[in-house]
Amino acid sequence: MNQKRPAGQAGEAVIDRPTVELESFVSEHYGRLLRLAGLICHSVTDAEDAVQAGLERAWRKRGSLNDESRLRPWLDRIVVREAIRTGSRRPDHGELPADAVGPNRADEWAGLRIAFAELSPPQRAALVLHLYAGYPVSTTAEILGAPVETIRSRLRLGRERLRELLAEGVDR
Amino acid sequence: MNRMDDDQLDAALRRFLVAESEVVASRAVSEFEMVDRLNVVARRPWDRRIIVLLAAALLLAAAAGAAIVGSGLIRETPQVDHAVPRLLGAAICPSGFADEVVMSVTMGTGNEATPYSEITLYRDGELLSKPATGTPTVRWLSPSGIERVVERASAVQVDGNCRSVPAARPYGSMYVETSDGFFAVSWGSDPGTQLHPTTPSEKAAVEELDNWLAGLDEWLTGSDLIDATPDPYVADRWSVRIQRVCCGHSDPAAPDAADFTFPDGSTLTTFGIALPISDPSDPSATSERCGLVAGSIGQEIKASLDATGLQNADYSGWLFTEGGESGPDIVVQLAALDPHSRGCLDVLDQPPPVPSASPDPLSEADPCSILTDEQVTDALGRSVSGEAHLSGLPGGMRDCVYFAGASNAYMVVSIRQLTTSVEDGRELARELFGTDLSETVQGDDRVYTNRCADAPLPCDAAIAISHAPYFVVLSSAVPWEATPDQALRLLSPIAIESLATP
Repeated sequence: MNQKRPAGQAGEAVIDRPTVELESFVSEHYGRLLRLAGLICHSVTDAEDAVQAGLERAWRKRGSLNDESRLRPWLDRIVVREAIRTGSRRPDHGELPADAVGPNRADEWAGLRIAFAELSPPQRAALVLHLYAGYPVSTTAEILGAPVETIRSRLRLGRERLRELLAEGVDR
Repeated sequence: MNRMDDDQLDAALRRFLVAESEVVASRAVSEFEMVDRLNVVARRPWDRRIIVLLAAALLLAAAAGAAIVGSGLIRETPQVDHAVPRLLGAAICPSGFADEVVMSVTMGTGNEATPYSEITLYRDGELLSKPATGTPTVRWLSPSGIERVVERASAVQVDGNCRSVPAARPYGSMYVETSDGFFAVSWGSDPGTQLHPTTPSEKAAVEELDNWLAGLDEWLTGSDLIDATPDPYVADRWSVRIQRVCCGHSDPAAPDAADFTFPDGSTLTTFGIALPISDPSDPSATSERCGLVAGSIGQEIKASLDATGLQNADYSGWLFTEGGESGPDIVVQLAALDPHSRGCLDVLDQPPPVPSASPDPLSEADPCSILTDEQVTDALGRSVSGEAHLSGLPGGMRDCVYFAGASNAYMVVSIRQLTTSVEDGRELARELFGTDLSETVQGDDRVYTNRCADAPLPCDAAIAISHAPYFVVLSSAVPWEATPDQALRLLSPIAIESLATP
């Protein structure tokens, strides 16, 4: 214990705390975000673009996020909104059904896949965040920047639309 | 398909979404590309099968005090394919304290389960306690009380300074000023990779320290305190920080920054002073303004910001927009200051960067040129490939990380820093491995190995070679056969020599 007092350096953490750097930041979240975006965009290519843009934006703005325990919903919000924008720009239904899966899985989920692709990106996003990511409705609303009642409405209308499409026989 | 009720449909949708998400993951072949203007890693190939990764350096300048790289705060159930090695858990000495601080303690990881609590003791006897929940309080210690607290805090029996020690509690760290400098230690249930073996008595010592700090109020006696009654802490100064973050709005519905004015009539673009920008030539660089205001004014600003209903939990502040759709976000953050803190004005104390007259010859050295992938694959018995990264080792330059995904095996070759003498190298080795290390002479080189083979607590095998001008560290989560010999063969001076050619 013969070291001198450390020189005060502004902007540094007052005391040592865990943190991450870019590659950790990317590695921990890329896979999850890609899945989320892919389900919303219905296109792997668009999902990659959305995650790329979202992570770049998040990395630039990370200094503004003081409460790191909120990192995950914060990242999800940025990327999901990017995915909705990307998905909304695409006139068709994306690329996933084309050659995405082998014959067995294609048979199992073909109907639901086609029906799900018919939903609007905001409806898909609400269902994905609530049912796949497991966020409660209130957090889903926060991530999507919409009132809770709007999210409930999107979930209800999304389910109704899926039922209609499935009943019409898209699950041939 | 028959018409389903909500529960049936939701169950089917969940299964479908999980299956589809795997389709997305299996088809993604992209690279993650971070553009150069961010001044970080320029480009890295993305291998989806093995998310190799490598925490290493710190979040640019923001985390010079990080002790546990890549652990803790933001690892919320990481959904990576394999566990990621947290490299080189040796602590970095904390810095950034006001001169008046005698002791500073942080406990908790900062997440919801274990929020931060802080204790700060100042030279004048002011003891500021910020519990994880509830109101911060202040008490005043007598000179003898200060002395007793410092004596107890610095009596922790841990080998070396600035250590990161495994312990049962989630996270804690302490800095205390001593008569001959300072003593710092951090501890936690997830201390990262350990190259410095920890003894059971050291673990017990930091856990006793943790218990003592948690019960400090009860430990203090009447003679330690000038006033035994804690008062609520009321900050007499607040820091106002305004960030302009380029580009594209996080929330396009946020209000325009031009619509807000401070009590003195200034706006979000004129309040306080502009802080230096890291790269003035970069139009996307974040710019900041900062000002300190009296406590009453801070409360007034907070009330007026609260009245807008704009508080944004993500930013722990208030979010505004500026310009059109691709304009910047404006984030306002208020903070009640601790005693003697200058808040966001601290950045003005930073010394200007000193240009290097001659480039450091080590800065271009490639640690991945020391060992081939085949050599490490042979040593670990698992297929690996190396990638160069900024070093996670205190004082390190660059690391080459070889990670065998599924087995969580890794090996790191780290180029440390210039060594000019045997003593320099020995001091570095002791800093990393502790004083109980093995030292052997190999020609002109000194070879150091840590004592992890017999360590009762988690510790990773490590070997270092002091070979001027290099000090190279090789560590691995998986012991390789005949540890010193095979490591020496791997990390042969001949291989290191190849680095030394300018």
